[in-house]
Amino acid sequence: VSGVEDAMAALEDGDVGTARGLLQGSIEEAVGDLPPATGEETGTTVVVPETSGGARVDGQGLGFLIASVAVLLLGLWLALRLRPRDTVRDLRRSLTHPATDEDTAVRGAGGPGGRP
Amino acid sequence: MATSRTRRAVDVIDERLGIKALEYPVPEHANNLAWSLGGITASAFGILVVTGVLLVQFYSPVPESANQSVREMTNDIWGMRFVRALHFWAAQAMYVTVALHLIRVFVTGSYKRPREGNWLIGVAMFGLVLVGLFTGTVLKWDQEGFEALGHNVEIGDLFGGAGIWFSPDFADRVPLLVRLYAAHVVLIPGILVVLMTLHGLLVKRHRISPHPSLPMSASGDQAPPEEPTEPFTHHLRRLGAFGLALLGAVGILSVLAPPAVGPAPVAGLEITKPPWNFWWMFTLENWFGLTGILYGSGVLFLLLIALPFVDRSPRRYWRDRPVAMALGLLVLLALALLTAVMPFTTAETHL
Repeated sequence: VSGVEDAMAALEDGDVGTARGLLQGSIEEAVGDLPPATGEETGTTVVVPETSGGARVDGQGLGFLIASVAVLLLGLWLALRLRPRDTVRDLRRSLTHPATDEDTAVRGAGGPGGRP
Repeated sequence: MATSRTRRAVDVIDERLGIKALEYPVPEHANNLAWSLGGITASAFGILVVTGVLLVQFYSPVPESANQSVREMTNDIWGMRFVRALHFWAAQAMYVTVALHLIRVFVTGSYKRPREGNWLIGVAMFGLVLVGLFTGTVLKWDQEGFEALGHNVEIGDLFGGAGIWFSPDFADRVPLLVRLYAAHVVLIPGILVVLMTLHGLLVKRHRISPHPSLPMSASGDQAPPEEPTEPFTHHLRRLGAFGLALLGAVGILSVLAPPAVGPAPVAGLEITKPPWNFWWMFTLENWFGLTGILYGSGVLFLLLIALPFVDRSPRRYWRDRPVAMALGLLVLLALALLTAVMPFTTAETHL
């Protein structure tokens, strides 16, 4: 309380900086005396407002964005490159109508449904 | 030259750790996207573990400073805004991919004999993903998180004595936040790792389920011997590629749409809405009270658990299973409708 009174006096003298310091000190002292929260208690002493969740594309953000786009493209390229030789449709065709020797030769040469 | 060196290195490791055991054959259809959703979910889990390890270095799990520590790490520590956002979006991705994986397994009848046990493990993991999302919401310790905790306590009360673990009375000298933090960073991921290992081992034991639109083995529960195969390591390689793509996608979202931190919590208020993953429960709560959440989620999980024991026919192709497909569609429609009407329901106070 004496801290708050000193802060009020400092404010009346126009010394905002000292007043702020005294007020913060008095709050810390008061809060320091509180027992720690247990169970379902919030532990909240000062309600601070919500922070913005919006995009912040500064230098750091731009770096992460470029790296993420590069990783996405690399992943897509690899997924495409490592795709199975046959699609399910190809498999259905080949399993229900087994390939002749002639078809096999075409697939081996990079024909439909097969990669060289 | 480089390839032979790589091969020699693999041989050296294989001699000591037997890694070539992973080269067992899997049918070729296992490498398509639909059959890779479980692996993509595991990739999301990997991102969550790595980002989670970084987050716990700066997070203070006590009520007095939890909210402030989240603010400080995102504003003052280099890169942590991105890491936190990556954790958030990877969790969303995991929820979506695990749900899609579950739907794929349902539609292709892959839960049928002899894979019923593995279906139950999958359902348990789906439940754990939901619990992980829920506890993660609480940890940021803003108004939304605190109200979520209130629901946790009230629903625990509905269980009577069986819900004692959810009660603040269980350990009245410790904040509930600390106990949920322990669950979020140790219990849930720990159990998930154990179940994922079992899931993978059972997939190997029963082999990849057959594609219902392709011919099957004589027993009807395996791919035919005529179907071409590829080593499982190729499947892992493609999963790695999908995992990279997922990392890039959640990275982009993390920069462009990082999650906010709400105001520090105040007791006695009920003014927030839950994350979108829980909107269907929120609608049920508004209509029927807190018991709506309990009964709604109970019915969903009972249906999932009962599925392989009720639907015992060997048919796997969706057109041959009209009853199962109609019921599945009905459940999905109900969840989608309950989610869609959430913004139009008036929030009721229940706590």
